[in-house]
Amino acid sequence: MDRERRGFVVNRVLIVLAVAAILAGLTFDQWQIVLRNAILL
Amino acid sequence: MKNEQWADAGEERVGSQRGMKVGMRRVWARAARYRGAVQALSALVLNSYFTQRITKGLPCPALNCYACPAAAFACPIGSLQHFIERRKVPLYVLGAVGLVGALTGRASCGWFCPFGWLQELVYKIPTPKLRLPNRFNWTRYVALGVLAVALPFVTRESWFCKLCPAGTLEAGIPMALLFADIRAMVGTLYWIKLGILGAFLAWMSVTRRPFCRWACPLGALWSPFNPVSSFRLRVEQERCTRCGRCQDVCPVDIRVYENAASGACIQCMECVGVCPEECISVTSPSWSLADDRGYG
Repeated sequence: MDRERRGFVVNRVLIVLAVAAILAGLTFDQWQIVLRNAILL
Repeated sequence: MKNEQWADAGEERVGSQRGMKVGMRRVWARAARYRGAVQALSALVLNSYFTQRITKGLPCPALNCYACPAAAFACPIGSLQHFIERRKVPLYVLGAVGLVGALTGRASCGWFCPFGWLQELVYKIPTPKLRLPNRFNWTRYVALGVLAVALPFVTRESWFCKLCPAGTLEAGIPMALLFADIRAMVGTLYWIKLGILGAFLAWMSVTRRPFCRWACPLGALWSPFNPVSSFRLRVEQERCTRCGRCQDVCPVDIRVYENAASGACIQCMECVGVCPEECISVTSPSWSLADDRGYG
């Protein structure tokens, strides 16, 4: 696989992983943890 | 006859792609002229106060202290340390930072970071300038690894926040001025923080964006995304004359022609419009090699 295509694949994989991490974090209520910590400061 | 038609169609396609590239390059060059206005607007939005009851749960795409009384979003580095202190995997924060990085690389540093904007403004003060090479800019990874990850994990305290000059400017000083009980708590650490801020303010008046280049842990998190982000710079090496105009306007003083996808690049696009050979463009990775999408 050439460099350009590898860049494309890595980019799309990273986007999917990032979205998956956000969703996983949300299921563990991490949004609330961030909000509470930020407001309590 | 058929072959000639194919050749004509091919030339036309290459011509139209080139035309689109030139057009988009002009759009990026024009957009870069309004970057100061975008940075000012971003500073305003990130510290707009009124939405904070809802939006403070969202990590912002910049180093903006969430202890600031007006901050409307969470600082990603502050939130990251909070999770590490509590020995929790910061999935949500890393996902948010990773998504911004995968989509735009370090463009947030160049377009949205209020502290980056401040550094550019302070550099405009007419003082003797000191140009420093980017050779030792790996120190920002040390700031990330030691102050934002290792020490918070071991000591359960947010060490980067304790020393962060952006935090001192946006939260430490205003809070001490506004509240008497906080003023009463001022001790040695506060004066150390003020000293660090003072040192960076002095440094940023003589050197371009020193904090971003040598100390920012958020920049360190986004740097590895630059070569694989959805938008990135590309230099047509065969046309580049290495005149150095790109480095002259670069806020982080890099030689764009040596490595256009460098982790130090903050993707401000200032270099796109000044290149006399018009050989710097913005591209997006694509699967189809024939359809090389040039965004300027």
